[in-house]
Order: sequence, then structure tokens, then C-alpha cells
Amino acid sequence: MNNQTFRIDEPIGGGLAVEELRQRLRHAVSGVQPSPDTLDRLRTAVPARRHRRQALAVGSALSMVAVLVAGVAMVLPDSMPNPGVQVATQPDGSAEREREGTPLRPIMPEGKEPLDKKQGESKKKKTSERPRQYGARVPAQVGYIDQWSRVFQQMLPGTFPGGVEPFRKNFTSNTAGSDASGADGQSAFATN
Amino acid sequence: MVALIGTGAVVASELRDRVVEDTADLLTQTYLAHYRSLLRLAALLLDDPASCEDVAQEAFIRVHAARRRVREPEKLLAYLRQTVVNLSRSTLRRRLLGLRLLMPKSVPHAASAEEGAYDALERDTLISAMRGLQRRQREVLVLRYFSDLTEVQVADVLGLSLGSVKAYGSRGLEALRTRMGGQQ
Repeated sequence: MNNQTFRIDEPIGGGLAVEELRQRLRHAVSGVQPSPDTLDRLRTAVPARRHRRQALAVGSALSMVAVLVAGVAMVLPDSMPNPGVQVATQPDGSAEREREGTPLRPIMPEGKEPLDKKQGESKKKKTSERPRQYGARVPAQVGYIDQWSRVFQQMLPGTFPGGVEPFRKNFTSNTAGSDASGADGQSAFATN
Repeated sequence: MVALIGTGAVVASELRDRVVEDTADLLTQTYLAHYRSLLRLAALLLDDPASCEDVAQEAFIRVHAARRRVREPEKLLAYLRQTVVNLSRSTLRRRLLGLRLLMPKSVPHAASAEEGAYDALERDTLISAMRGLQRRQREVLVLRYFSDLTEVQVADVLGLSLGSVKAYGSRGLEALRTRMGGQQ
């Protein structure tokens, strides 16, 4: 690498010295003047840019917070409240779900009795023989299926001519052995 | 309580007005002191006179909008100069990319009648010889001989080592000698 420094009296092409180079550079741009409205434009543009950047920073921070909240809600769905579905544990060990104070009843077609009503006695006995289980867990999805099926039944009668029991059975059979199953392998919907 | 809040609002508005006035004053002072030299620096660094004013104004706007983050206020001119150099470099790079990709047969900028000074700049033999130099060589020569910076200051502004600045400067001078000798 050439580390040679420049000398003031060093001639450039045609006898041009470094000092003369300075003067010629300044002379070449001496006629360049700012336009008359430059200062006014700067006075308006500086605060405008500052406000724009502040708004951008605030918007970014808000969107980051929204993304964080949405991410936490997706990662931890159990921590979110399940509206309308409560689990109450009875002293005899059976778990009964209540919706706004009304005991949950399965929706059956007309003329048919719920299965639990026919076999209620034997089931109760079986349940009472089992050890106590507190806080029987009901998956949130089952609660939502039941809740929305009732809403649909009220708003659009005839939407489910066969009732929602097939959907519930299908869902609980898929999730049997996991959260949705009771201790005897039956559905967690088996209520009184 | 209401009177207290009202007094606080009045004080806050006065403070805000004072800050705005101070900002405007500093802006005006800086403009009067340095804007012309920065505009001329941009005119020497760029090969397109039309964008010199844009670059100088953008540098002013950027540095003044973020002036609270400037750690050493006495170095405001150095920040402005460095911003002008960076923006000139970005402008040249963008135009080169545009020439390569978008406009292969673009018409060069023709100075209008109001741009007599820029027209004279175009005709200057020294300027035309300098525009034939490499970008780094031209930056070093302009900062060294037009802005009167030392080699260490040039190295700071350009983000180069001192040895690189010396090498670019000496090679640029040699190339300038060759070009001006060829023109005469």
C-alpha cells in the first residue's frame, strides 16, 4: 500500500499544485447557491419527519404488544376462561357441568329418552363405588360444541334433525382415553 | 386543582414553544453557517447536479430530526458532513443500479437555464477530470482539499483506515494528474 502523504507544492497535471487544486475546487462550486425556499422547507420537514417516526414507533410497539398477547393466548388456551361452562364436583364423586345455573341435558330427538335416564340407576351405583375424583376435566372443545349446538338449535330449529349427539359421541370417542374420558371409559358428558 | 392543571398546561405549552423556538433557532443557525458548504460538497461528490440539493436537504432533515440522539452537539457539522457523504454514495449507487437494470439508454441530465452554476460546473475541466476518478478517490480528494479535513478526519468520515485514506489520496492525485495532462 502506498502510504505517501501529499505535499502542498506538489504539481499536478499542467503544473497544478495542491494549493491550486484547493482554489480551483472552491472556484468550481462557488456559483452553487441554495434555493430561496430551502430554509422554509427544512423548518416544516424536520418536525414532520420527527412526528412520522414517533407515530411509526408507537404503532410498532402496539402491534408488538398485540402479537405477544395473541401468541400467549394461542400457546396457553387452558388459561383462558371457558364461557358458560363450569365444572362442579359433587360429594359422591360425579362431575356435573352446569351452564349458567342450568344442569346440562343432552339434546335428543323427540320421543327418545336420554340413554343416561334409562341406565341412570346402575350408572349411579357404579359411579358411587368408584373412589372420589375431584375436578373432572372437560375439554374446552367439547364445551364449545355443546354451547354452539344449543345456540344453533334455538336460532335455526331443524339444523340438526338428529340432534347433536352423533357429533358429541364422535368427538368423545376420538378423545376417549385422554382428557374427555371419565374414569370408567365413558364420555365425560354422562350426566344425570 | 383545576387551576393547578391549567397552570401546568400553560407551562408545558410554553416549554414546548420554547423547545420549538430553540430548535428553529439552531436549525437556522446551522443552516446559515453550514448549508452552503454542504451543498457544494454534495455538488462535488455527485455527478448529477439535480440531486445535490436533495441530498443536502435530506441530510439536514435527518440530523436535525434526530438531534436529541446526537451525543456530542459540537460535532453537528461532522454528523452533517458524514450524512452528506453517505447519502451521496447511496444516490450514486441507486442511480448506477437504475442505469443497469431499468434504463439502459437513459438520457443524461441536462441543466436548465436556472441551473447556470451547475452548467458551469459541468464545463469545468477539473470537475470533469475528478468525475472520472474512482468513487473513493474522489471522496478522499474532495474531503481533503475542499472541506480541508485532515487525513484522520477523512478516515473517520469515510470509515476507512488512515493507510487506506493515504493510498486513495495519492492514487487519486496521480490519476488526476494523468487526466488533466491528457486534457491539456
